[in-house]
Amino acid sequence: MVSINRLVIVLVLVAAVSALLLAQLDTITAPKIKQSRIDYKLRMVKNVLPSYDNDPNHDRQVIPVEVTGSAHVKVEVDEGKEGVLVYPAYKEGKLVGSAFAVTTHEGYSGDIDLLVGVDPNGAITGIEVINHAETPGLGAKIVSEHTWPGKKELVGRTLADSLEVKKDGGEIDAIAGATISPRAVCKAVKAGLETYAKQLKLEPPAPAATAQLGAQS
Amino acid sequence: MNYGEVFTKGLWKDNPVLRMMLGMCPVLGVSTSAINGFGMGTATLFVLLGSNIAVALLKSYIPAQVRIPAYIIIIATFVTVVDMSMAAWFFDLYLTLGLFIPLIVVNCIILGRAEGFASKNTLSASTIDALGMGIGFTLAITTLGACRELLGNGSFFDVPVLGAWYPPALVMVLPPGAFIMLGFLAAGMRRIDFVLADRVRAQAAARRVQALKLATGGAPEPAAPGMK
Repeated sequence: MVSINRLVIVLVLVAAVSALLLAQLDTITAPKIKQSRIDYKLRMVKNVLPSYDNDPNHDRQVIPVEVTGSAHVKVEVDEGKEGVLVYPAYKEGKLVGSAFAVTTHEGYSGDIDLLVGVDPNGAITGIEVINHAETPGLGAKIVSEHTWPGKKELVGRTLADSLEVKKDGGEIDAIAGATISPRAVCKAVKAGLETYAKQLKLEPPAPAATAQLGAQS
Repeated sequence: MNYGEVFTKGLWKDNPVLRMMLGMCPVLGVSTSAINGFGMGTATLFVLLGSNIAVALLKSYIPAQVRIPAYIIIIATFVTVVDMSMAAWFFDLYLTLGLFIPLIVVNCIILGRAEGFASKNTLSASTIDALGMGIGFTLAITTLGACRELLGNGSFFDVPVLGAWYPPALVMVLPPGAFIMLGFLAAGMRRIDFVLADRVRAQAAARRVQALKLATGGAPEPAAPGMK
C-alpha cells in the first residue's frame, strides 16, 4: 500500500509541471493570438467599409449601448471601456462609413458574430461573418457570397428596404436546406441597423481634424 | 516486441475508428469535410504522441491509485498546447477547428492508449504505438470526411470535382450522414478482410491438393509396404 502522502505529492507534481509548462507557452502565444484576432477582425473591417484614407482601428470609438433580445450589437470591453466598438471610415475628412459587430443567438448551433459596415445614410456597405459554428456545407455557407448570394444582396439596403429572407416574405435568398442561418444573419443585420440609426451615428468631422483644432486652441 | 506489428495494427487490424469504434464524438462531429477531418486527425495524433511518451516515461513514478487523474492532467496539458499553438500559428485552421480541439481531452483513444499500452510498455514501443494509432485515426477520419464531402457537397478538399449534374445529397454532411458513411466504411473494411482471408484459404487448399498429387504421383503406393 502506497502512503497517501506519496499519492498527493505525485499528483501535485504532475499538476505543477503542467501548469508551469502552460504558463510558459501562454506567455509566448498570448500576444500572437491577440494579434491574430485583431488582424482578422481588421481584415474583415476593411472588407465591409467603402474606401477610406484613415486608420479605422486607431480612430475606433467605444459607445455604451444597452442590449436586449436575441440579436443585437456586440458589446465588448476595449481598454477598460465597455460598449460597441465602432470603426469609422473617413475620406478627405468626411465620414463615409462605420463598421461594428453584431451578434445573434438564433444561429443553428451557437452564436453568429457579424461585422456590418454602414454608410452615414444607414445603407449597408458590407457584411462579414467573423465567428460562427454553423454546419459546414450547409449553414456555414453564409460566410461567402459565392455560396450565399444573400450576403451581396444585403449590400446597399437600408431599414426602409426588405431585410428578410424570401421564406419570410422578404427579398433575400436563403440557402437550400438551411434557412435558419441566413434568417439569423438578416435579423442580426436589421438589429444592427436599428441600433446604428438610434445610437451609433458618429458626428463628423474626423477625430484627426478635431485633434488639430484642439492643438490650435 | 515486433515494432512493425505495433505500428501497423493501428492502421488496419485495430484501427481506432473503424475497428475499435473509439473517439466517436470528434469522428462523427468533425468529419463533414476532408480538410476538417485531416486537421482533427493531425491534432489528435500530436496529443496522442505527447501523452504516450509522457506516460511511458512517468509510468514507474505514478502510483496505480492516482494514475487516471495523472493521465488526464497530462492529456489535458497536451490538448491545451495544441489549442494555443494552433491559435497562435495556424489561426485560419483554428477558426474552423477551434471548437473541437478541447474535445480531444475526452477522446477515449488517447486515455485508452495511455492506460492500455503506454503504461505497460517501453518508451520506443509507446511512441510507435502512438504514431500507428494516430495515423490510423487520421486516415479513417479524413476518408470519412472526404466521402461525406464528396457525396454531400460534390467537392474534395474544398475543390469542386462533381459538376452541376450531381445534386448533392445534403444528408451526408448532416449528422445522420456521419453514421451512414461510418457504417459503410467499417463494413467495407470487413469485406476486404473476408476477401483476403478467402484468398489465403483458397491458396492453402490449392497447395494441399498440389502436395497430395505430388506425393501420390511421384511415389506410387508409398504406404503399401507398411500395410502388409
